[in-house]
Amino acid sequence: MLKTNSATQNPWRHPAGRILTLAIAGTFALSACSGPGAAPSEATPKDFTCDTQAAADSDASLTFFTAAGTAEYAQSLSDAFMKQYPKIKVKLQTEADNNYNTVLPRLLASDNPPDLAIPNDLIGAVKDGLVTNLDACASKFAWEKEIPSSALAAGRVSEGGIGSGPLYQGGGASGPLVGVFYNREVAERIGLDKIPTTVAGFEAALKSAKDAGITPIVASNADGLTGHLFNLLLGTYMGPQDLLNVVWRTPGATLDTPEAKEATAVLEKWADDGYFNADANAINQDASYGQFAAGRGLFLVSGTWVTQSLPKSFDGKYGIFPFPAKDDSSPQVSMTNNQLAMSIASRSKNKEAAALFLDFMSTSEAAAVAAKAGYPSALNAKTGAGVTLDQSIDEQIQAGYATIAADNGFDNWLNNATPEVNTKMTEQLQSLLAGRTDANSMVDALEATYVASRDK
Amino acid sequence: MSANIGIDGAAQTAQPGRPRRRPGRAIFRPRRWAGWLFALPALAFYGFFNLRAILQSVQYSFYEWNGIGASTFVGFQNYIDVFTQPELLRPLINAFYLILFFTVIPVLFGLVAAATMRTMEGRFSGALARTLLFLPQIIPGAAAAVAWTWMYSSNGVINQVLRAVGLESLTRAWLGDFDFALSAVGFIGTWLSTGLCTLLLISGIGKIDTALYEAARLDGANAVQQFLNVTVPGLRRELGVCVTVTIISALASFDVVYLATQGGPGGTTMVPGVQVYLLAFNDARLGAACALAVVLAILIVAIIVPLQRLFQERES
Repeated sequence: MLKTNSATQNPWRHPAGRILTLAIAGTFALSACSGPGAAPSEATPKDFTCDTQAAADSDASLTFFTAAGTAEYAQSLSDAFMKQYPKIKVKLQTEADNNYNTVLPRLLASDNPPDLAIPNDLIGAVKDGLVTNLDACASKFAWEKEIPSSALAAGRVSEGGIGSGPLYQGGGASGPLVGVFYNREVAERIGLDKIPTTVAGFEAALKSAKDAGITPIVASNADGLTGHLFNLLLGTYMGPQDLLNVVWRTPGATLDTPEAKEATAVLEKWADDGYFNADANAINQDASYGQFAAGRGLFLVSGTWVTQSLPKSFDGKYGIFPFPAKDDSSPQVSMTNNQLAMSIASRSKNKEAAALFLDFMSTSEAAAVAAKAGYPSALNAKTGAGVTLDQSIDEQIQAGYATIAADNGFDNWLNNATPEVNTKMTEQLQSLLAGRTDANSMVDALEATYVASRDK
Repeated sequence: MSANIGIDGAAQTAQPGRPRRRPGRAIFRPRRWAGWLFALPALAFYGFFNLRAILQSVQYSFYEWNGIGASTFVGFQNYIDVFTQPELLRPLINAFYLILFFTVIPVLFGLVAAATMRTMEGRFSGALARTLLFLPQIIPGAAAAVAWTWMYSSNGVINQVLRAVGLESLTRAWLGDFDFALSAVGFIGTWLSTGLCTLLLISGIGKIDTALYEAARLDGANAVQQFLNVTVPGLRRELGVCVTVTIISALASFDVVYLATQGGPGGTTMVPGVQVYLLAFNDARLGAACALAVVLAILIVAIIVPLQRLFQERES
């Protein structure tokens, strides 16, 4: 194209035209050559040997990317680590909860990525070569012996699915319990004298709250957080493994099952019966915490991480129990994600120091820090105790977690299946709560989004 | 490439029969080039940060790309999606509905307010009225959205007022209501752009020859007739600016909607700006996001250009 600027032929008479043309031609040359983006350079370098010998005694600085809602926990974890490895400094990089997953892939792809992070779209991160293969660390630190294989499975990725293959997320094994928080004073007022263990019993409690003029479930749904209850219902009716298969994109997994529709119909019925606060579709999580702490409702369905966000003045005035089972012979379920397992960015410049951090997370010190933040350990889950109303919340979290572990009931959020499913679910949950869609159409819409985005 | 041909063609026809200068001399003639040299840094920045970005958006719109990994060329598929997938088409329809709140109401209100203020005698009361009306304009849309979120909440000012006057049955969480959320969001836009329209129209009224009003009065025209026959025709140019600026802010709205509702509930307040953001950053569908952005840009140009013509032609 630049050949036209020869002495014999000069069509660019007008300077403005010439410069504009040059600019446009230049930008085309810059951008039009090939498609944007690049295939990842040979996936993750396999040569990360996890050779941490020297790293323990050399100066290094690690960046730990955390969501604002869990920053307090991340700081405690980093402090405990720095006590053990004084030469390694850990800095937190904090992002608003609802932005964490949005920002993370771009940060990991940048020249200055955080060293440690928890990508929710682990399949995408592996596909784009953003996270480090941790197999060498797994054998060096003997994770396979120390950590339950079900916890490690969540960090394994192969052929577009989670559950088997090389390890990309590892460390210890502690995670939140997602269940039903209750206001102790309100529960007493409506005469709740024992913890409901079946959905029918739970529904009876919802009804007695409603009859007493108390909002049965305080929820925020402008941000789609009735999704916690929805996911619990899905796991309860589908069984945890079937839900997990969908989230992990196991071949053949589908949401289009009678059980998923039955679970969604329960949520629809509870919405129709007015069991949620009337302004659920208009408020965000913080507002719902405020309403719950102010005693304007009986239950809040969420995970134990909210103990970090609920007002300190509310401590001791609320408890938690695991979501009840479908019936007496079915397992109790909870979504969880390993808060002591992390990924190391492929482009991290301190992989060895970061590996030391992962190793530290499998220690009992780290498990103690996690337990304090509401993330009980999968390693010492004591079975048999069961949750009672008069236990302290710490006891309830431990006992509840053990109950789920004994039932093999841990699964994951459908939201994590693909990014599009996450967006779609918020829209669908808002429609369901307002009676603008029904259970069958909602499951169909989610399945369609899931299939379309998974097969891309 | 068509731009290349078009511009050169225009340059050639603009200088018919002009003797050809030797290019070497033309390039080094200082007078011709001095001005362009001064403009060069700005042009370079414009090219790099504006033109390049625009062209890149167009280019990305033909690909399926998550923003990081490898991309696949998909031709016009993203554009087909924009016009066939309801969740992509609906934001465009919502944006047109918002024109009612961002443009029609503020311009009508601004006209009446400006005409009323013209007749205000007191210097203090006039200045006070202008300041109060313009005040929302200096508040960022994001901050306004947050403040209005509180006012619209179930225990917010609006519901409190409704309860106080006995309209308890009308109270609701406005931004969470499928039927009212879009209008509620739109009203924030009304509140934001009324001040700008009023101020522009007031300054326009100041330029109308007072003799015209006098003549109209002598002919027996009342206040309404003066307004319709003197004020409105005299404000064509200002009305053109108001309409243009507010239509663009309606169609390209982002901050107000993103902070008030994020497009919810159930997509009822989704506008193209927020949808582009969600597609690009939440759904990792950068190609579809760019296609929607390009369609939006073309729509805005297609609406604004005829409007500009309309307001210019009438004037001459």
